[in-house]
Amino acid sequence: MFTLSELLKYTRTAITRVGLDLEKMLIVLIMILLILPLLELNPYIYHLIILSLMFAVMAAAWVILAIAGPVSLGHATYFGIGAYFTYFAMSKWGLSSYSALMIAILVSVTASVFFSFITFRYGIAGIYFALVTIAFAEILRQLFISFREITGGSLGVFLMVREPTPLHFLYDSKIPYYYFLIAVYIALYVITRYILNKFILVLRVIGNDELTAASMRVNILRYKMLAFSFSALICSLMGWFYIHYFRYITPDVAFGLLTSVEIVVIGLLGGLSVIGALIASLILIPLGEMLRALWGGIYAGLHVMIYGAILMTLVILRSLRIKKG
Amino acid sequence: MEVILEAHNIYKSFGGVKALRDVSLNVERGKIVGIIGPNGSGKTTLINVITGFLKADKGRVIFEGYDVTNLPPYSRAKLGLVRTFQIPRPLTDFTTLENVAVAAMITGMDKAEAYKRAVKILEQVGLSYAANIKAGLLNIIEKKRLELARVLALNPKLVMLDEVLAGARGSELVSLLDTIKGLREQGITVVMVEHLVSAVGSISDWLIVLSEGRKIAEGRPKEVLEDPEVIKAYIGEVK
Repeated sequence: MFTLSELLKYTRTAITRVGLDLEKMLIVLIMILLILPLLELNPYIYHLIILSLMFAVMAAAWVILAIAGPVSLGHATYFGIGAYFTYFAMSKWGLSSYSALMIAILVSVTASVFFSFITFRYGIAGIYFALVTIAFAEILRQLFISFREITGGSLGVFLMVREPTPLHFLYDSKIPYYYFLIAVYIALYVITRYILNKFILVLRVIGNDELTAASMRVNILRYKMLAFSFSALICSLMGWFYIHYFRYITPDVAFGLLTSVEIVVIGLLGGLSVIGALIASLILIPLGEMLRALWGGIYAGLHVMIYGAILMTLVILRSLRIKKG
Repeated sequence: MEVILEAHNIYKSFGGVKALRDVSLNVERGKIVGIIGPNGSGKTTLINVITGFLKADKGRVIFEGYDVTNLPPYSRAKLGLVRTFQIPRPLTDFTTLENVAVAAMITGMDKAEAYKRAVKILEQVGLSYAANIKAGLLNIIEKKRLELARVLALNPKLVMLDEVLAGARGSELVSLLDTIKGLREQGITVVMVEHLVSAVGSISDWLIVLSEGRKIAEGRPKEVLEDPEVIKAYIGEVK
């Protein structure tokens, strides 16, 4: 019989021998995801993967900012703005889905530029920055609850359902949404890895040491603001996606702390990388959903406790791995 | 000789502490200028003000004829006015080689070119053997060499070295001094702030002495080091 430590040792040697190339692993994972719809599994499985991909993309967006240092605990804000302004544009102003996307992006990027200029220009950093991001999300959540005539209040809003048509990005099947998110994820990966690689490198320099970065000709304010707005842009795209997919959103989901924390947890567990975000989210989101489906109705709170215990275990395992190098 | 850097009547206080009082200086292109002074005489503050990491209360900084007084640090660095830090600040997530290559890439080089240049610079500062070690693991002298290497990768016209010699002894000191002389041969102007007098006196073309935030003497090293004012500032008055 193997002991656990022996087993770990053998796995490690096996991995070193094969060579753990993350990019190859990602390609295999994406291939599996791409052919999965051919198996015509239970739609619930596709739903879980769609949710995972959505959070993977948002966590990756959060990571882009986090590698430069700022930890946002209110990233749901830009997701929420994206979702609500898509709703306004389509249901209230009668615009097409794609014009709505432009408006959603415009509003959320403007909000992020405004917010990041105020915080970064005046040197709000670390724990204070995190607190301010929570406050900003909370303010928006309260505003969207209070202005009931415009926002539908705490009950949220339904996206006016047109005939399901590709022109409005509305489909009856889950599969188009599924493929759309895979495409978004791949695009994000390629952009961060190959197109904006120098930009990401500079963000890492800033995250390492701001004073050194400044001495190395880096305009820190500009880079942090760019990272923040790029991150907000992607989150608003996911908000736009969310309201098309669910056709329903409430302020608690759109600007809630839980949504923000989910993004942060996935980003952190994924080791602040775009690939890691996908893997972490493919584990955590289905786990959370399934625990809720299994035990959520039996004992109130049980699924959250189990989820919390698993999460703590994962975090401890991760930090052990980091210590070992 | 052409003047590359001028500071005019710099004042800087922290609360009630007057760190710099009416300090002016001129640095000639291609020279090594040493700034010495006892602890707390305002040397590092002066570097911070000249490179833009601190804003002066009063006074102007002119670099290559441009008034850079109100420019942020990164803009001054772009003009070629770069610094090292007294307590080295390497990018700890990167290897020694990457630290230098990244700096070269920020100046606009592509990756391959930047790495080639980084290899050369590491040779120049004598750190080739540690190229692939994470920069956080280097010892203090190696970190100071890395500060030098990073600064070189930024194509500087003038470098301000904040106590790079501190802690170096014997052969380490000799090779660091050789590296700094090498900078002058490359046409880079060097301003070095040091607490210890002897080493900096031996390679400087010009010495400036600060004491309690004031410039009390300047001139050729030999003359300055015999100046009774300077001796008084360092070892106190002889009664």
